[in-house]
Amino acid sequence: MKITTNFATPAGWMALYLAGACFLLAVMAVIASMVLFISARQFRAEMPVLEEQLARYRNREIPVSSDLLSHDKLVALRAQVQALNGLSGTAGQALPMLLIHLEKLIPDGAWLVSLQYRSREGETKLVAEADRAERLTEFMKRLEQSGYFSQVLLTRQAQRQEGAQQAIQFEIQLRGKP
Amino acid sequence: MSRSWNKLATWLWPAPPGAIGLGISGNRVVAVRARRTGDGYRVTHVAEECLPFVPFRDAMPRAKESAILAQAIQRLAKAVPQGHWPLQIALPDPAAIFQVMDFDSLPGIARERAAIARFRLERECPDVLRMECAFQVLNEEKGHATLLALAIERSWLDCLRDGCRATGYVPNVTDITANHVFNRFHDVIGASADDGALISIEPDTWSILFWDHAHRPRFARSRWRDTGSGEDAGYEMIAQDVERLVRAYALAQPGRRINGIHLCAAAPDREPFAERLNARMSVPCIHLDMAEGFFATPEISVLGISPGVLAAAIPRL
Repeated sequence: MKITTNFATPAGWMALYLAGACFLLAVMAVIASMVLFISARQFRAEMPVLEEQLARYRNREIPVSSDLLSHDKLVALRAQVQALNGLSGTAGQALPMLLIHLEKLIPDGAWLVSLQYRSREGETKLVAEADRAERLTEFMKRLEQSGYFSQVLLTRQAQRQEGAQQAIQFEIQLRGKP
Repeated sequence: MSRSWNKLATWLWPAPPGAIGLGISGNRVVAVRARRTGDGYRVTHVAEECLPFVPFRDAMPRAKESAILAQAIQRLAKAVPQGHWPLQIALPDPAAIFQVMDFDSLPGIARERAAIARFRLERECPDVLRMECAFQVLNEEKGHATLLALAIERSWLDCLRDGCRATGYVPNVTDITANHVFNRFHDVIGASADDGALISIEPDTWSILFWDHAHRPRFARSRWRDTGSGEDAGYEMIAQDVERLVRAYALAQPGRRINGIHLCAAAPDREPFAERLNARMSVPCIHLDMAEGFFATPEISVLGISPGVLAAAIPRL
């Protein structure tokens, strides 16, 4: 065993590791510099072509595609599309939206039997069944409080017997908000 | 992984080409620059300064002595510039307290180890309060730990540091001469399976260092040489001290067996001292030639350089 006692301040055990880290950083810096230098050279080589294209564009030398519509024709076409949309547009809610709302509002123990949807008038007539009268009351209450409909009318209510099971069938008329 | 990392570290941080050894021996300060070659070390620079006092001999330096030492180091730095070479200083052995201490266990943190070792050293030697200490764990096993402690007068170390700082010398290693000599002949020492002793004779000091069968330092003593009583009487006194110390070391613990005493001394001291030692001791005296492996340009003589300074010029890796 060699003697290693020392009264001089040692350089510190980290010195070697720091030197290694500095060397790695220097290598990375050199690599980054080389990459940047090569990129700059490539960009410099492309510059005349790009400048020429820019000059041509400024001079309107770049050919405009012939199949593009003119501005006036585009305006007329937009007006036609709007008119067609107006003709086919619905007064109330779209059917998918209506179904989504109904799915959320219908309580457990009640089910939809049929649905008539008149989009032009914004009216919906639905027939539903429930195992108890409380379901009907709950469904009506939810429809009114939902804010999706301007009118909720119970137009018909009847008892229906199917085997040993008894169900309440009801018909509700809905008018969507404009 | 460790080997790969070591290879990378060696590649990033190559071993120094050599070292500068700065030795304080008596009233002389000597600087030697030795370059590592394939078969040894080539001494390229040697410079020596004489002082009107002996550094580290008194309790603390006087202001005038500090200035003189700084000027001497400045002149040495001009003659032997450090550059990027490591500077290794060899201090006179009698200036230090050399103590090997046994513990049941040692704390894991180096600072705590130093604190507990210092506490123990201060109890054994109150003068350590004004000294600077250096430690090395020699052995650490379950239930037993051995620690080497060195203590040197802080004021002298500060004086030396100030001198080095003023001249631009940056010491990498500052240790006593005996330790440099021990490391220099570590291969020779490691060849024996028994306890052993190394006597190092410098122009103004001498020391003896004992190691155990595992080649761990166990005990050391050093003295300033008495130059007033004549050379023969001086050698006789050293031989007498050595005999007493060897017997004390061997008897201190059962099973200790010293089969040879290694002697490292300059040529003028070697033969007369070995003769007296052989007359007293039954174990053979093994000569260690410090100049072996050192070469020099024709204008420089390696033989004139004290062994301690040459030992300090070998880089401690």
